[in-house]
Amino acid sequence: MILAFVPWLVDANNRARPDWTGIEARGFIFGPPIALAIGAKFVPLRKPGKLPGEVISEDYVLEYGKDCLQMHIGAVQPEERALVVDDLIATGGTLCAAMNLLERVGAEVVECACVIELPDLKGRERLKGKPLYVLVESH
Amino acid sequence: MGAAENGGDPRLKAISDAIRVVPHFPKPGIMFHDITTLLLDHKAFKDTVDLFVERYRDMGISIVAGIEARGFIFGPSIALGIGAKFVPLRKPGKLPGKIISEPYELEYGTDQLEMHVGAVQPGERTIIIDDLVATGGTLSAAIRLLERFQAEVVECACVVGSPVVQGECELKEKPLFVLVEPHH
Repeated sequence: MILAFVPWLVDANNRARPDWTGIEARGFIFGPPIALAIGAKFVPLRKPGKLPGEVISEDYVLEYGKDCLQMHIGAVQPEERALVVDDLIATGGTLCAAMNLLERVGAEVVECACVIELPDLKGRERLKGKPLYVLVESH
Repeated sequence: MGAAENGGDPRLKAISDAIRVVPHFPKPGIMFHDITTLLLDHKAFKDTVDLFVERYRDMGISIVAGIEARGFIFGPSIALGIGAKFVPLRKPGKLPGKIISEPYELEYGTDQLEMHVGAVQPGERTIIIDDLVATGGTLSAAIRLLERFQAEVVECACVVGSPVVQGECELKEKPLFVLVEPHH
């Protein structure tokens, strides 16, 4: 599963090492092993107040109210190729916030990856045209 | 014991160097050891996991229990590396199934750690993973959770910590293994 996750175009002279960002907290369960297997950095995206260094924040809307996702400044460089992983995609709000964080620092979001998709909630449509890779669907 | 006592594995220096200290987080006086910078160094992150896997792979461990949330960053990779199950230990209200709960003391007040009923069977050999150990309060709650289902806690393991836990050391005489000591 891990090695088949995402195909890379690797330039022999200039390897494009991807970042693998994982969304707190269940994204932390899957993201790091994948990052380790593909030679990527792992960047945790967290709820407010958890990351100790300087952060950027992205607010997003929940069914009732709002939430916020944060990323350390300096974790990701412009033009780095990034993947976003979470255990599950429902409405896509969290993944969209994660993508926004990465794009705000100039990274290129290559794909979002989740173990489970709830397709009836149409989260796939909130990913700004970026591809979504899932292992299982649940209706 | 600390890994540094094992004749100083050459991988440890880079691991220690990759961890940054953020002063006065989350409050004044605390020198917070931030492992997120370690995660940006692929080799050092891989070496961190490898050091734990090398230690535990032949000890018959069937469960790696990881403490939310930074224990989730290291635990699953270690579990996968040694052929064990991964069991998340979480703050209240996060685990959806039937749970048991164990309170533990904070500096001011108490918190709870929870585990799914049925995740652990009696007699299973277990290690507990967190990024850092300070007073040992959270690890002690984790030990109590696992022992309530008659699992055998073989060792607690952290990336950062003093080999001798300061303050109220309540690790119930379980061994503690750390890779690097806190920066001074």
